[in-house]
Amino acid sequence: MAKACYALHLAWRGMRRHPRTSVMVVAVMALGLAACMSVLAIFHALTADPVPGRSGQTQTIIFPAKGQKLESIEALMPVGPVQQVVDRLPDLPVAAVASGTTRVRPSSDPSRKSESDTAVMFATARIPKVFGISLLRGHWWTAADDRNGAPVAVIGIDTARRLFGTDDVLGKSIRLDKKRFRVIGVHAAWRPALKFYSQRGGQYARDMAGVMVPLLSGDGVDVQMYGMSCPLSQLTDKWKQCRFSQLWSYGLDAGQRQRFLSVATQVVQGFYKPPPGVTPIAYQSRLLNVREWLILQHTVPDSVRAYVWVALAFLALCLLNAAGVLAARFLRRGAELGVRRALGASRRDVFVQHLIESGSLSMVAGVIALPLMLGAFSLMRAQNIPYGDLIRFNVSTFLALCVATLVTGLAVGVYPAWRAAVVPPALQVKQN
Amino acid sequence: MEFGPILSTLRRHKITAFLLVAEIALTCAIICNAVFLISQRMERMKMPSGVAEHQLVMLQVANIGKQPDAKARTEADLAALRRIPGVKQVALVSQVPFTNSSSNSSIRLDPKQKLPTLNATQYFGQDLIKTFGAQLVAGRDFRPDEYMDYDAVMRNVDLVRNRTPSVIITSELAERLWPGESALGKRLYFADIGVRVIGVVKSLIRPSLFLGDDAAQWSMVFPLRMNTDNASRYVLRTDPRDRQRVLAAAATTLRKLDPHRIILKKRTLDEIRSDFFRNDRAMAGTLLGVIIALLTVTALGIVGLASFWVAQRRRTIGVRRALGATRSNILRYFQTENFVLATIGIAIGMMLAWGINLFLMQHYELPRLPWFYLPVGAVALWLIGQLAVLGPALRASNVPPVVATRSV
Repeated sequence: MAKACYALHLAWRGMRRHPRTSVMVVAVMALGLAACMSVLAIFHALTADPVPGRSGQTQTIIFPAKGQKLESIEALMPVGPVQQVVDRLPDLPVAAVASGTTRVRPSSDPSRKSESDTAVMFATARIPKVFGISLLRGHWWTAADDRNGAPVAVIGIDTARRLFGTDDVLGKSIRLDKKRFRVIGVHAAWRPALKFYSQRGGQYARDMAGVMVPLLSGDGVDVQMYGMSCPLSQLTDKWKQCRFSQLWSYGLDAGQRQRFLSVATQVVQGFYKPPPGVTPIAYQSRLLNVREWLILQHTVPDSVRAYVWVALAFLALCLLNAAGVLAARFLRRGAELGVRRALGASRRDVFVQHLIESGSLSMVAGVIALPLMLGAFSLMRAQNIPYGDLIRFNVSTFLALCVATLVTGLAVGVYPAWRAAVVPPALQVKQN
Repeated sequence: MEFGPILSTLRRHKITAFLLVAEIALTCAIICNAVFLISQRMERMKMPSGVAEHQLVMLQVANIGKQPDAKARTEADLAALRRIPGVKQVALVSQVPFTNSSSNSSIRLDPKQKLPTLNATQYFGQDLIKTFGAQLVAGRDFRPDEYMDYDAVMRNVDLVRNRTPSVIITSELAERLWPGESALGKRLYFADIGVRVIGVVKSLIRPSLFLGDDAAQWSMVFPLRMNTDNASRYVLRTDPRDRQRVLAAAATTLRKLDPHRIILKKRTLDEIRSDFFRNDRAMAGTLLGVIIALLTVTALGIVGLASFWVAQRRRTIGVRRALGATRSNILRYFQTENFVLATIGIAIGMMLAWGINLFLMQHYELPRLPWFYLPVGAVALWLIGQLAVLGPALRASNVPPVVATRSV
């Protein structure tokens, strides 16, 4: 203990003896840490598993034509065929999902202004099984409600409290755009790290589904959707003609997967029967799990990957820099270290002393890096980049920063400290 | 200047010299690639649109409810907009370059073909070519009698099924579909509906580049007339100086004709374009920041090490001065030492830069680093090295000869 205090004291004196280089080493390490950790935090947010423990088992189906490159848009189908697929596989955990935003308000209170841009999920009855959403009150809708497009809704607990100020909302009504829906259930907060079931940039949105309604009940509701695809002709009925819904399944075994694939392909093939004389498209459907689906959508933009490499290289440079300056500083003390060694200090003492000196410098750097990082985050959020909403500072980011600080302190200090420790006692005394 | 003494000194400071060389090499490698990446982004931001960008303004309008008399309203709108002083052309169009919202279609060269040839975007709107200022390089623009109402065609596709309507495509799309041939008179198919190419424009960018930059110019223009019910974007062509005034006047005019509608957006095409390349600009800016940070850190490292060396060698400098070396000899010595270190670092850095580029080429479809980017990094590092070492070297040259006579 006393020894550690003495080493700390020596480290403090060492820093004070070279104030300029101390400031420089600290500044350089703080910059390197802040840059590297901010970029890694973004990378982590974008690559986080949205449904931990389920993402391998949660699969979507995509319908590329034979020999065609896989495009994420090929997973989208009109509501008609996906509803048919779900109906033809009543025993499998399979559901159709479409997501978008629209205006929502309690219908009892017409004076109240609608909340614009509330996230709404249009889905079929087995969605709680497929996505693992738990129910707090009431009940989910049934397959019959699916087929009739019954105007019923299961809303999230947060949405319930926001709209009505209470959890007890069963039997009340809400309006999506102009259409009225009866609330039959309240589901628990469901917040995957990424909105993986959305399309093209929609997956970065922070607001998760606050309102869930049967897929076919969306007819007549004006919904904003990411990545809707409409055919050239007969644009009179958007809800029936455009492609915006996607099929998801959970925990299928090999046989069930095969059945899912063949039924879905058959339905889609039938739906897109071409006019006579035109060769029908041969679909080569595939199942993709959450991870594969996110990769296909380029959820992690190339620019972010490039930033990760640049930031790592920058940190390496900062460390080289700090190590160089520290090495020069420690080796300059050769003479006095020789004296200390000759007076009986062990190699270990000298080594620990220098390690503590570099460690304390990196500790200071870590403390300075924290506000730098927060500044970098707010700068990035201000830039209006698509994934800006995902950039948050949280406990794990903070812990990662602490670990990184410790590791850099060691990385920077070990070699110079070791060089200082191997100074032979007598030789150095003699030399000067 | 002799290199001998410098090299033998450096041999005695192997570790610190090695760390400095490594630092310079790393900085050099990153800077070469970062400058290259910046130039790539700048190049992308210059992407041609094929429209008279500086002369165009756009207003996006939202109507409330279904409009039974949309056609008449559209004509009234367009006539009123044309009357605004300074307006040269007006069109109501389905989509506008750089707005990220587009209608696209798969096309075939033969209706029996199994897979579509490619996916191209489709522009609709009367007088679109003239208003956009797209440059025809072959064939002609649409005749007034070729236009059909978009609504009518969508309600009943049979109207066009056997008539083979006209289409105008870009020269890049023409070259891609019929390499080396004239596209005029050739046919394209949408499912079983055929259209005939009657004109080719030099360029017309698609509004959204979701298929990548290689497909940026795959655009088609159809002779379809839009109305306020199925299109929302008014495009006006005017003199660049009048743009803001015309925008304001157009908004007032549109609001006066129908007080219930909402003007969602009113912007010049220059603004829309600048917004479209926001991410590229942000990335170029970030990389520029990285370059500056790298150079600063490297400079700091050089200053730090050089200061230590100068302090450490005070006595030897004193001895040299006492033996007849001039101040400029000492100054030159430290400058040369830095030059030697920088050169070794740069040589290693070039190889590293090349390696990084190979890695980027493999993983991000980036082109090969042109050789002339390598000297950029080299010159930057030589300069920064000389600047950084100047202070410590001057301090060294000011060490008086009398130091030689003092003991520690």
